[in-house]
Amino acid sequence: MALDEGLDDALNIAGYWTLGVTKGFLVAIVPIAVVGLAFGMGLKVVKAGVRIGRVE
Amino acid sequence: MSVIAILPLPGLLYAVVKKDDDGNIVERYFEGTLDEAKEYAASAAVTLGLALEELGADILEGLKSVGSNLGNATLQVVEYAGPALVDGIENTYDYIRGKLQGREPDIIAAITVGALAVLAGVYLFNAAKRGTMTYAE
Repeated sequence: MALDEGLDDALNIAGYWTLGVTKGFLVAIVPIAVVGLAFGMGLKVVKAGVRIGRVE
Repeated sequence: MSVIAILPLPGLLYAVVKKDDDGNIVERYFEGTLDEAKEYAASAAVTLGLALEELGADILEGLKSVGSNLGNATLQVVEYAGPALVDGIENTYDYIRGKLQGREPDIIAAITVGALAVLAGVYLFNAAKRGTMTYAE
């Protein structure tokens, strides 16, 4: 039946997107977190340096 | 270039001759009285004119034929260009679809990774511009 085929297609596409987005998120989250942490740490270091070097 | 000329001969006779560039007689066509020679030369000129006219008509016909063939070829190219383009696009689509079939989640994962990377990059760039990781209240 055409309707069943359409439903199968829709379920397949939904599965593709669910799996794809989950997989992409899992693949990307670790590097993004590491880069974010490094960036935040760099920002803190720079701020500390600025505070230490500031002349009142 | 050769020239056709009427040449006087001894005894009130005249000849129709062909001369080359140096004036030498190359060929002798006709001998007779002056009137006959004139008549012969005139008829020869008419014959030459007719031959030239025929040659011109042939050339014109040939050019017309070339133009017509070229026009038909151009029309055929225009006629078949559209279907060929559609077929090409369809074949390309089928090829790409065949290559990617069965790996849909991987493709979507790659798209997601790219989007997240771009978003993270933009966020970090703006954070560097602001000087803080959080938005100021």
